[in-house]
Amino acid sequence: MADLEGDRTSFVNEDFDELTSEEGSDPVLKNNGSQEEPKETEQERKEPSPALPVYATPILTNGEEGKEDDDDDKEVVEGEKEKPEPFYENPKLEPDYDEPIPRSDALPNLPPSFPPPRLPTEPPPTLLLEDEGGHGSSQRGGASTAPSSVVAMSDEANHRPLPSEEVRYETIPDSLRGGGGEDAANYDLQVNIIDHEKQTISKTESFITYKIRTTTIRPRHLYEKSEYLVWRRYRDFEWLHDQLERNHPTLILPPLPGKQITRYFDHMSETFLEERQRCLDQFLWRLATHPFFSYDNALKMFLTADDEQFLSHVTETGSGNKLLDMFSSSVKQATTSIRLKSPDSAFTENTKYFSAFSDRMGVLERIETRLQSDRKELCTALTEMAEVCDTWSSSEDRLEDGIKKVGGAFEANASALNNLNDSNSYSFQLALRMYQNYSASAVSALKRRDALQLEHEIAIDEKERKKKLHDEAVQAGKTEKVTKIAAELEKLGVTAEVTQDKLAQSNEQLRVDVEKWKEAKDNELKQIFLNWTSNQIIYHEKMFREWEEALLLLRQLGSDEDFIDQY
Amino acid sequence: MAAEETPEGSSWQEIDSPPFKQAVSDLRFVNISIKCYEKKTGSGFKEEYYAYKILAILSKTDGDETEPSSSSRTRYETWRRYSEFEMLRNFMQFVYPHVVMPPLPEKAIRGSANLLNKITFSGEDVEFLLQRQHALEIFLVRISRHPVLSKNVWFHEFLKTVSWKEKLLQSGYNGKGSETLFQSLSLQLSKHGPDSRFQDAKAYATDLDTILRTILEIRQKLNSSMTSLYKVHSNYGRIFNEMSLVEDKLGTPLQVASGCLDNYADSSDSYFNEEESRFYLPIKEYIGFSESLKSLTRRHEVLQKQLEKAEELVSSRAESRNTLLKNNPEEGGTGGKKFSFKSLSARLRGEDISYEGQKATAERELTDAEEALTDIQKEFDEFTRDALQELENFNDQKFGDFRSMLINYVQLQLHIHKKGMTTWQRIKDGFETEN
Repeated sequence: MADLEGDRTSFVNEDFDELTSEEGSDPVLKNNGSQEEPKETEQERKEPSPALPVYATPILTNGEEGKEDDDDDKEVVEGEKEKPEPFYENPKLEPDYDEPIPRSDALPNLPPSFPPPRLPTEPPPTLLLEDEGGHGSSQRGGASTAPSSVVAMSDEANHRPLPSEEVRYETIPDSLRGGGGEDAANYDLQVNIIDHEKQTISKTESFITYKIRTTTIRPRHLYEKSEYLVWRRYRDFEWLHDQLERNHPTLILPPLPGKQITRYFDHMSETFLEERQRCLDQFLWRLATHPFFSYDNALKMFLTADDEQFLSHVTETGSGNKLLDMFSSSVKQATTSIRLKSPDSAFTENTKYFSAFSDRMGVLERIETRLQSDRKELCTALTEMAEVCDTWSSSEDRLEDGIKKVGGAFEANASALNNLNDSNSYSFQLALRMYQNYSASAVSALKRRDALQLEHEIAIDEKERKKKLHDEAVQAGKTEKVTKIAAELEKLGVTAEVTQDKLAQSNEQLRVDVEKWKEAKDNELKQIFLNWTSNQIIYHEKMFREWEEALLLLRQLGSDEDFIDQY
Repeated sequence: MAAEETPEGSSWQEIDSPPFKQAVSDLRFVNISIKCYEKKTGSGFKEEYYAYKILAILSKTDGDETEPSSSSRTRYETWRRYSEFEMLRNFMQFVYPHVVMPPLPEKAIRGSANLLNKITFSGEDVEFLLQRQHALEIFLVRISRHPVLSKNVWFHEFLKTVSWKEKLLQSGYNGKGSETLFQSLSLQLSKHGPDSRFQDAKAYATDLDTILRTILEIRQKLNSSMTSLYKVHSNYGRIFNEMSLVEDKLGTPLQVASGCLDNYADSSDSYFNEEESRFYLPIKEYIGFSESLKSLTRRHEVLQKQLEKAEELVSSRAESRNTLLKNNPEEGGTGGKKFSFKSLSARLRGEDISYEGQKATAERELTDAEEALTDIQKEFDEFTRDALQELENFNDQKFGDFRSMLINYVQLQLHIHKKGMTTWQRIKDGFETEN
């Protein structure tokens, strides 16, 4: 459809966090405050083993801990004041971060909705431990690779969407974690977002923190402990994203969910928050399973540092990345439209591929949006039909039950369509949206690689030019100029070598990354489409059964002698 | 009459037209269909109309269509235009007022949603004409299945004789129905009060009309959003096709999906065609039936009113005769000398104004009124009896029709969801077998 093509801006990102919390409001204190709760709840509902370290371990040098740049940080949430304050102001007095911090006073701050046992279907601790043992992804993969319609049919809650409590914890990231596959279990760094919590500072200020659990079997010199629990808010994810982009400009960086997705008018709505949690979980999952990103220090800091450490580190590195120190200003200016002298055809092809792919994901997502609105309209009509059948049935004595049944089928059709919409936006649409951004991110990485090549080409050109000047000077016998140019030439030679190295390294990394991306994409896309088709099959099967029942009843209401097919 | 023995209309010229109610004996039209329509030019200035080609098979076997004894079967082919159908219906209703007359399709396009889309370059609303053709066929089939209507000799003439209309008009039928007369009367039944059986039928007809019209309105919405829903899937088909060309590993399943989705998008067309004839047309017809039902109850009321009037006339004449008897001058009454317009006018007409003469007139008038009452009473009783029987038959017919209409609709739903299941399963299988 033409109008679908034209409408590319349906999801405008707005500054979600800034709408709900003031600038400079302190992430650390809130995180500290919130960190009390999870420890409490985690321990309560999980393993009885007190030996298991549940708190973030400091992994940076002490020098980085005490930085306090932001005076605003001292503002505290009332009620959480006593606990975090001393902890925050005197970090050096706190000798052992492994020691669980006394948290009895934090309990009164638990939001009423938070008590852990609120999930009736919560998995038993063993399941969680198993998960920690490094098989989480395989479980997920297993669950989602076999969405046999029969299984799903038997349990409608499976495809009932978000706010249903059952899906909240363990199954949240399912559909966004891709196909999984055998090796998914073998990753040595397992990261899950297991909860989110609303932090309210005042009437006008509140934000969301996400509880992240990391388990790892990496050597102790990399990760001291095997499990970490931290709370991070959205802007911390942004920080991480920026850091990674700066550290690895020519790798395909997994996308963050947009700050706000406009179709949710209430950006604190549970549906929106669930969705974002799943996207953020996917982001971390992609990082943790990536050969380069998973070893990045910023990620480690993000996953393991306690709030105070994290804050100081963030302040030090600067939260905004404000691009890529590695490029000269001339390159930065050129990045919009780079014309390379000798473009690498493989990368050029890939750029084309990724942007087309991104576009197509966008179109698919918008087709689904269109379908959802059609389905909603259809629901309205179906509901009206059900109502009129109800009225009609009362005036047809002999057909009363039959007409009622038909009306019931209309009604069931409406609710089945609603379910289909919900399931599709829960899995299909969201996954497409994230993939659209992911491939757009690949285009950026390829562009930055082009910029590196451009930088190198500029250096070579400059060298050639100087070489010419040098030769001219030699011929003219201007020794003084020759010496000067020779020095410059030598410098340029070094520069060219540096850019050459950088380029070669980036080329290799990106080539590998693109390959890996495409391979994963095949699996994940397949999974996305499988989930999607399952949703459709469930819908049609449900309706087939409904109408079948109606047919049976209508047949029973009269003999087939009554059945005169006039039409 | 001889007409019964001669299936061909030729002999008609030689004999008198049969009375309106005359029935043919055991001959029945067992198969009636309208094959096509054609634009014709009439005699009038710029007069154009559509005529419908009716194919009818007359059989002596009384409906046993399985027996192909060609000797007892005769085929007829006639062209009739809409106004002739209207005339037939009015005539039938006039002759058989107690019948819930099968309805004709609406005269003109009313509320046709996407009128512009349907009109072809030649200016014909093909869809409308086809629908009408279908509805007219159903109308004829209904009559041919009605126990009384199917035997009417003029119905047979309609299907047999080209000059049907002229003959019917020659025979004394004024060409108009009785409906207009009934509708113009304002009815206030006084004496007996309304017959609850007919009142119920009337109320039911009103309800049914409302409900069916509402269903048609919702159906319009339902179908348009469903059309859109299905059509939009072809966009998936397009994108998947594009993707299948560049995606090596998923190429085959994407190609499969693309084909399936295009197919899925188009599958709604055949659905809507079926839905049109199996759901929309019956509902339209029954909106017409509810009108027939209403007019039947109206005729009952009119007859009842006439009956009451006749009763009033009898009682008033009886009263005036009794008054006359009381005023017998021989018994000392005063009446005979009294001036009255009545006696004046009677005198002017040269009537017998003597007491005996007046008495005789009053007696005669009373007897006339009583005879008229008896006639009307008989007519009314017959009408009521026949109409109630007719209502019962209608209820059976309606039950069967609604039931089969619903069954048809449900089967369509089953069909479309079955199609959906197989389509999506095929797409799913495609992705699953990919390795």
